[in-house]
Amino acid sequence: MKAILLLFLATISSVSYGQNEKFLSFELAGSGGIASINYESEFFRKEKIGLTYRLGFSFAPIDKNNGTALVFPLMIHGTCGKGSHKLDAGIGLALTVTTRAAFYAKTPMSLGYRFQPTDKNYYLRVAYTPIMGYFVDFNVQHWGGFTFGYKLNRK
Amino acid sequence: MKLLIVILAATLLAGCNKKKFFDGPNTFSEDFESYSVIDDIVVEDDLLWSFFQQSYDENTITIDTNIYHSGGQSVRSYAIAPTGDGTSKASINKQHMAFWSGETVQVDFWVYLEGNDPMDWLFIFDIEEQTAVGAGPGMRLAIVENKILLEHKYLNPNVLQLGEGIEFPRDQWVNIRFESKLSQKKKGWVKVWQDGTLIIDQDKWKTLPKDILYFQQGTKEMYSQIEFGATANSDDNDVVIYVDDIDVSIAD
Repeated sequence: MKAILLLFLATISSVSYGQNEKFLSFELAGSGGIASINYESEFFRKEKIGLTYRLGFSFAPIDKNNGTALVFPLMIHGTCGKGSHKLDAGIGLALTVTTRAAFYAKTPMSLGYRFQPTDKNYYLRVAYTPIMGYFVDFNVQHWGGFTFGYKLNRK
Repeated sequence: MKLLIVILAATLLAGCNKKKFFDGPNTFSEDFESYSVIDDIVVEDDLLWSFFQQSYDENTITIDTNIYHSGGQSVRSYAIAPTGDGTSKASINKQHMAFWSGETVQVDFWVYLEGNDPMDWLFIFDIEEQTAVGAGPGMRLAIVENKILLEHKYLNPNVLQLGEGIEFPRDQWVNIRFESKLSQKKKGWVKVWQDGTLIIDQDKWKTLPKDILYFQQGTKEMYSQIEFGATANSDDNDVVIYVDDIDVSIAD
């Protein structure tokens, strides 16, 4: 577990400072389950539309026999809006591998409000984050999350 | 980035026909009369039983010829009191069965609990689903304060006996009949009889588990495994339990 966390932190610490916005975010509940930390990078922007990919990590302890589920939410978020107030929608894939070598994947989705002051280095997001399963049975779990993101390539 | 999009798209398009992929028998009868040793009951392809659970070296599962309900044999499970984290198990399991949502599963079996030691949270029968991620969610019958109750390995409260309930007799064969209409919504029900007396009758009940965030993933609106014996001994005492004449079926 520590090795994965160190690898994740090493990856996000090697980000290049460019024009695109890059964030390190913490989401309480939401697409990662109980909570997740995420690296986010904007890869497209045109006027008031922006697209960001997000690589996250979370975990869920199951029990002694089944170990711990390591969860990696991979998502693409779109933002729409001018100024500080934006609509934020996302969809992706949450890969799970347990410490007992079990594997599964679900699709997290997100629809929320994003507050990103233009003169600050952070954003806040509150979102409805349903988690969809469809491999063997279609099901949707209603869920929500609150995110704090800190800009890595500060002005 | 392109790789991420390809992975997302491929996974979004994936899926399977669960009833075809996870199909299996929904009937099974067992009287333990045809075996010489306990290892004979586990054969390939789950034609009989699938595996044993013995969580301590001291735990044993044997064919017994001294105490039996009918014929001349039963299965004896001995499970010591747990000495560390977790429970003590000495049980027989059959997996790759298929009991689907909407069906009514019927399980009839005989059980004999030896001795009069206090016994709390001794589990004697489980019906479970095998999920890709999770701890085999399902319903279980447990003896608590010497009375049977229904416990769930998913988010659902225990179901106690009607009224004062009746004690679980010791040193004698007891017939248990478990019936449940399976549903992930509150459209299912559970009934349990002890020696012909209805002791648990729960209507409008979630009798199948659902996915729970990332803790439990891959539920299929079905059960696929049954387990008998000392499926979990949580008590401070060792336990000896016998099982015989098991019949599993689906209501017409």
